Amino acid sequence: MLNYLSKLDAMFQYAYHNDRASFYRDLYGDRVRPDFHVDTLDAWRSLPFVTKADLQQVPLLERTFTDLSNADMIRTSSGTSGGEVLMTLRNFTWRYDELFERIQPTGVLSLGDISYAVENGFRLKYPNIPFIGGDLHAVGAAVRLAEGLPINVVGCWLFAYDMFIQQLDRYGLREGVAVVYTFGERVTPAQYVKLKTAFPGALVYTLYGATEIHETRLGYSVDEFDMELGTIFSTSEHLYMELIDPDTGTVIEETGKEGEVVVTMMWTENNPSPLLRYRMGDLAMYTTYHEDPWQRRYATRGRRELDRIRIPGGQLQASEFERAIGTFHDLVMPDFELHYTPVTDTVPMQAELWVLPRGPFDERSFIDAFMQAVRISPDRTYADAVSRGLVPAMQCRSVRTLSREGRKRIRFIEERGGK
Amino acid sequence: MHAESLYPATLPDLERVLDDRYGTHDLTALELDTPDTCSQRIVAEAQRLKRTIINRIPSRFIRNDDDLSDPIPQYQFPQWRSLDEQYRFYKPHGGVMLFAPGLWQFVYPFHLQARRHGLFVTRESFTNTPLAAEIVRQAQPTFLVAHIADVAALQNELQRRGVTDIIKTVVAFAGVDELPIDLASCTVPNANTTLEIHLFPGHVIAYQSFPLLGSTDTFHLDRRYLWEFNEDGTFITGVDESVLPLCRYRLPFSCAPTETISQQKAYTITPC
Repeated sequence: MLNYLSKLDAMFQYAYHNDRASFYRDLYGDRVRPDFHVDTLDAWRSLPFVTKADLQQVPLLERTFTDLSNADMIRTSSGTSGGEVLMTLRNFTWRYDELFERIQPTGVLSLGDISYAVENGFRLKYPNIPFIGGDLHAVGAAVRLAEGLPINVVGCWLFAYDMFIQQLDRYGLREGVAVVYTFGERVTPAQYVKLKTAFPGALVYTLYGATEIHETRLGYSVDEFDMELGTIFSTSEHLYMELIDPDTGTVIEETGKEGEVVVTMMWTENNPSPLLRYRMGDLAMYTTYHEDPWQRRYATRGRRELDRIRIPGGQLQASEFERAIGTFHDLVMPDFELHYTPVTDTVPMQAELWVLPRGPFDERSFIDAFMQAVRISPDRTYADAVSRGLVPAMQCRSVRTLSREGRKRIRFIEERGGK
Repeated sequence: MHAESLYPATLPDLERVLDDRYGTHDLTALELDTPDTCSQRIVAEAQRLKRTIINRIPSRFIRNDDDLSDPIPQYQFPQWRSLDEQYRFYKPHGGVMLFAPGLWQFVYPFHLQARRHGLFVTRESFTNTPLAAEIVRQAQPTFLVAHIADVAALQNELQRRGVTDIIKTVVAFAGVDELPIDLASCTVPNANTTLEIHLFPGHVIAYQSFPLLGSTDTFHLDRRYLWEFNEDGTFITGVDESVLPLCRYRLPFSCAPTETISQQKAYTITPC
């Protein structure tokens, strides 16, 4: 315990007293005294959180722990979708031993922006093993480069795996794959089953991390997948992870309770810009809570603002839609799409669910049954909560005007003013 | 070997080098290399040297059409010596930017060269030009390496955002089949633009030094290849183990000597 508290204290002292990381001193302001020390967990927990919005407001050079000449790379985090661009400093360290040492790699084919950073570390660690990298807009061309090489590890953004698998088949590479790693988003049970089916016998790893917190992923998949909770991760020794109640900021210290992930990247020579108490915006839950922070295991539960729609008295989760749809396997295929419309003062919560019926389909009956099955909390269905007046009712109706590849489109709209 | 002229005119132990690499010093007895035979030769050389194939590159600067190029195997990464010379001459500080598709497999040699000079790299979102422009604004790389077709796109976005006078040097590269180069389309205002010709992505065969700036057809030729110029065309043969084992690979341009600059010969290159 003292060991990591002293490490956290060293980081705090640097962040607060060094002009290179002046962002922190400005952030803490009058709330933290200059002689503050992290000598207890409570002291640590009294430090304010850092958010992405905070980072986006300060130049990169005011929140680093090193000189730029000690960094290998600057890359972007946010901004690819038109938002505020966030720059981060990187070094090419190799922290994927857990992934690759389980199965000795003979060749790697990795697509997507993260592959460039993975490649640099990989080349240093395994200089004599083939590695083909590429962009998602040229999947076929990249896979063709790998044709005939002894590729047994493939990696790709999760959302692009369908396209990737097609090309692996085209060039005869799918059969030899022993490790599949994904990044970019949470693997849902249906996606996990799909990957396990496409790559029988392969280990499916999910790299959970964030581009704004250096190269290291937050945790590594321990090859456990819970069909209810999703991928189980163990914590990385390169970070100190906390779970907090997203509304109150209270630290969660128990299994089974969902909270927002807060990470502190440990300051090492290979990490030029660590972050202190950074709110990830991701939801997770401990599956094993242990006093030693590096013996904890957890499951990610989605994004706070995207995969969970909070409604008065409860919440609707994308993962819960998936579970509920899985109970109707005789009526609809396991693949589905769920699109949310952000709630504003004038626009109520809206969601659209696209399902693919297996045969003749009575939409009204399906909607009624589905609303009976979907839960807003572990022990309460939506229909039950509405009948008890705990959550507002929603209009649930099929939309007949659009149909894509035989999919049925169902729209959910919160009834404003209703109970 | 029968040639009207050779460059370099003399090479120590040339016959021994050719014997070792190609099994004969009379290269005219061998077929001209194509991308396909070159690939076979690389694999054979890797086996002889007990090296493994560590990646492959496309034979042309394709963007996404996998049928338009042949994969060229690599058992070693190309040493980007021309880039090393540019770094030594221009002495950039801070960041250098690679604006090129990952498919071309530039990333690792580019990063290695940058780290040798204490530079950090900015390379991301090749397909997102507005984001690349924002990276330039924030990370302030003074050195840009890009294909001739991409410099203009990035420059237009920089101009639109009012991001000026950050990039001081541009290395714009073209494939051997992409000549002549329209210099106006690959310049950044107030920056020096130096050109390179690549046989395959990352494999530089001709480059420019500072005195050749502004020329679109005058280059220095890489001395690690043996160049033959005769009435049948221009051919190169790899005579240094750091370059590809190409045996009389025909190039789609002619070369004529012009002048000697800084003790390096310069040649005028004219597409056939």
